[in-house]
Amino acid sequence: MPETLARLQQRFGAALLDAAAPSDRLFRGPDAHTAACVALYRGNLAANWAKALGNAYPVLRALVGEDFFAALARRFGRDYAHVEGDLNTLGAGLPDFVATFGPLADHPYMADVARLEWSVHRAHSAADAHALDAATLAVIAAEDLDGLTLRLHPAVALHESPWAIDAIWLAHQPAAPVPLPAEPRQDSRALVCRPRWRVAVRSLRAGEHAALAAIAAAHPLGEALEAAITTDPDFDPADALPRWLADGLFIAPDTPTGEPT
Amino acid sequence: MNKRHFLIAAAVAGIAAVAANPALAAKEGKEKCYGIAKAGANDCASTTGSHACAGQAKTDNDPNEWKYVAKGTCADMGGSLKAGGKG
Repeated sequence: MPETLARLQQRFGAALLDAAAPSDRLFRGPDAHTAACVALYRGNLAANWAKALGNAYPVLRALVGEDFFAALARRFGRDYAHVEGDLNTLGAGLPDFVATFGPLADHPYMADVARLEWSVHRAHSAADAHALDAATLAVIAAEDLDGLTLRLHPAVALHESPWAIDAIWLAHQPAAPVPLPAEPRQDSRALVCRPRWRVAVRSLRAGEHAALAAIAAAHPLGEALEAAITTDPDFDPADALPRWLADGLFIAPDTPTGEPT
Repeated sequence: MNKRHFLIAAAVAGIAAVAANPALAAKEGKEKCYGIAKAGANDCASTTGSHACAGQAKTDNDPNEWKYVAKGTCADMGGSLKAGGKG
């Protein structure tokens, strides 16, 4: 009795993930030829995973090197329960995978670097929204600013790590503004934003991070600024606010975000 | 509340300084945005016109574990570390 299509597809899927799985009769011709063809399929599948993940995680790839990254992608791709049809979304789970990946146990900063990279990757395709500008804020009375609740732009993400993930990321950019840190163990806070459609990563001081985290948690501006200066006595709203506005961190009040949050 | 007044006053000053500089705002608004598009992961064609998929015809027959040794830029940061501090 011939094999059912469903059974054949299951065997084909199994053979794509495991070189030891039987591949006989998956294609016409001798078994040895079929095995060679399935091995090609398997190789292309792994190469596609490495390419898609490398597109989202170029810094992680540079950190570990091409060979290691390809092997990591192969392992991740095999262990991962694929549900999406869009390779741009493959890799959301890679930071958590990296965090528990034995061969990277000696490089504990990798997972947080990967988390920052995923935010950068998502920022490229985040929904559009009109950014709040200074002219709009300038017409709001000072007494109303204190209670004003701002919303972060869909492309914005905040990160905090015991590792120097901001410096590590920045050092891997084409016109690297900073050198690789000699010592990765250093508290850092980073901001991902997309001013004028260009994704950027900024290093944040503790105070600025506290303010933006408070705004992200829907606390009003007055409370957020107070959280900042409590964390960092040198925090200066007159310096920070213009930079936040120039980076388009907030959504203008009357525009929808364009996607559910 | 004095602290809050001071903070809001500083914020107002910062906003006013930017809002009062229309030349700066106009320049930023009109800045050209070259090279903003990031390549997607779904298409095979590369920017050089060569077909990336064609170069991927590698067979994968190795049932053994690849030996993992990180050989990238991480070596420039003092090599391997142990969680909790430099190893």
